[in-house]
Amino acid sequence: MDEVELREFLRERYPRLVGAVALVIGDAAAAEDAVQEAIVRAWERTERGEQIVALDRWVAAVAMNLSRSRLRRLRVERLAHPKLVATLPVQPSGDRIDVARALADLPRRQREVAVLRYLLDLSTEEIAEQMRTSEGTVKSQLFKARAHLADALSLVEDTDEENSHAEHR
Amino acid sequence: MPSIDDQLRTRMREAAPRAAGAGDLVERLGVRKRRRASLRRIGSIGLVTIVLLATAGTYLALGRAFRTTPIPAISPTQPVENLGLDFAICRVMSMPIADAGAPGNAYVFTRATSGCPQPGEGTRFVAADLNGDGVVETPPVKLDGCFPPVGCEEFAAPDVNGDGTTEIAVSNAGADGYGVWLFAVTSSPPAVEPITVIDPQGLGNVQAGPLQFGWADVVGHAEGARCESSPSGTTLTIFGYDKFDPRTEVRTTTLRIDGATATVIAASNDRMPLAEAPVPGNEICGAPLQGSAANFPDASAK
Repeated sequence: MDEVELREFLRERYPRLVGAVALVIGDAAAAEDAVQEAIVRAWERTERGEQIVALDRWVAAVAMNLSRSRLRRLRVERLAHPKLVATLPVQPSGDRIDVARALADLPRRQREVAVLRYLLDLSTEEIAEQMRTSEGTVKSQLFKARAHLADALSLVEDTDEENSHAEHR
Repeated sequence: MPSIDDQLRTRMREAAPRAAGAGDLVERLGVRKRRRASLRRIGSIGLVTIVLLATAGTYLALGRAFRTTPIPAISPTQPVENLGLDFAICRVMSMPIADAGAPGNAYVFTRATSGCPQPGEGTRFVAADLNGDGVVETPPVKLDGCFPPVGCEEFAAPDVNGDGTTEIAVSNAGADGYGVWLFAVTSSPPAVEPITVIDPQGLGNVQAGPLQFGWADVVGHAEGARCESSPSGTTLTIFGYDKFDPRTEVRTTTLRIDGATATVIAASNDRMPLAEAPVPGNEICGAPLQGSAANFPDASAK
């Protein structure tokens, strides 16, 4: 990855990747940190001659993993020092609060599936590959996440046919 | 009205936090990459340091765990009076013996050269003072196999045949116990002689030649010797067995010792529960063990 490719990637994909990770972990600063770390790792790998297919998906997967490790570490630290470590700052503002809250109510895997699907536009196959699970599991998680989000955000479906079509994309 | 999926797509894009992206992101990523490279270098150096320290620590710990007990304070390391010998000696060990009931002393010592050789080095001898006057009457007998770090020591002065004259047991500490040699004391002429095994019937589990047996009680095996008295006299039984099975096979050889000759009179290989097998202690035929074996089996030479 040369500097031109890197700049293009940062311009085209970086903002959305940061947004996706932030929606999953509920912390924009930590999300930006995780995505930057993932990009640096990808950069190092390409310099070593490794090929990375679908760089944006690779960066998203690594950033999600990094943020998952960070959350696990924070959880342990909170258990060890309950009064010293603050809780995660999930403080979206204005119109974003409903979506952020609705996502925050979802289990982590459903939240991740929903964000990968609706924000990064990954297919169920790509999500399954990234999360190292089966397509069936992804579809099931997506179905539950979608139902919860639709209910929480008071979204109304057009027709049953469309709903069924969307569900199985 | 758009589908729920389209609505979710739109709402999420609107809700996704924007990257702060202050300054030149490429420059920041470059700094981050250089920092990671530095941390990796530091990590490698740290790892190598830890491995080296751990290796040194393990070496010291193992050395400490398995080292043999140093010889107890025996004598000054500088040459001392020579017990009537015609050469200077040092590292002298002594223990009481009896020659037909008369008290005397057995000595194990090193020939002094220019100073005193380290334990296990130089030439080590055994000799006896049969009347307790501080002068050895017997010609010194050179001891072989006195390897470092402990070297040969006096092990005990048992009377293994019940004739009223003690024998002299000399040992050398090995990795997991002691090798013990037995010497007979005779008074006419005064002499200390290595006891030699003969096995005319081919019975024994010991080799013919100088009598030697092990004294050990470690995880894998045990070896030792004990006296058995009967109306026909006192005999010495050497035993040994492995500890890997709950029922072990104890190998024994019974010797009748007369002067400097040990004749094999019985031998057996008996299978028995490990708990019933004989155990070497800190005495042999009622004589307490000496030197580094005095606290057997707690001696670290075990």
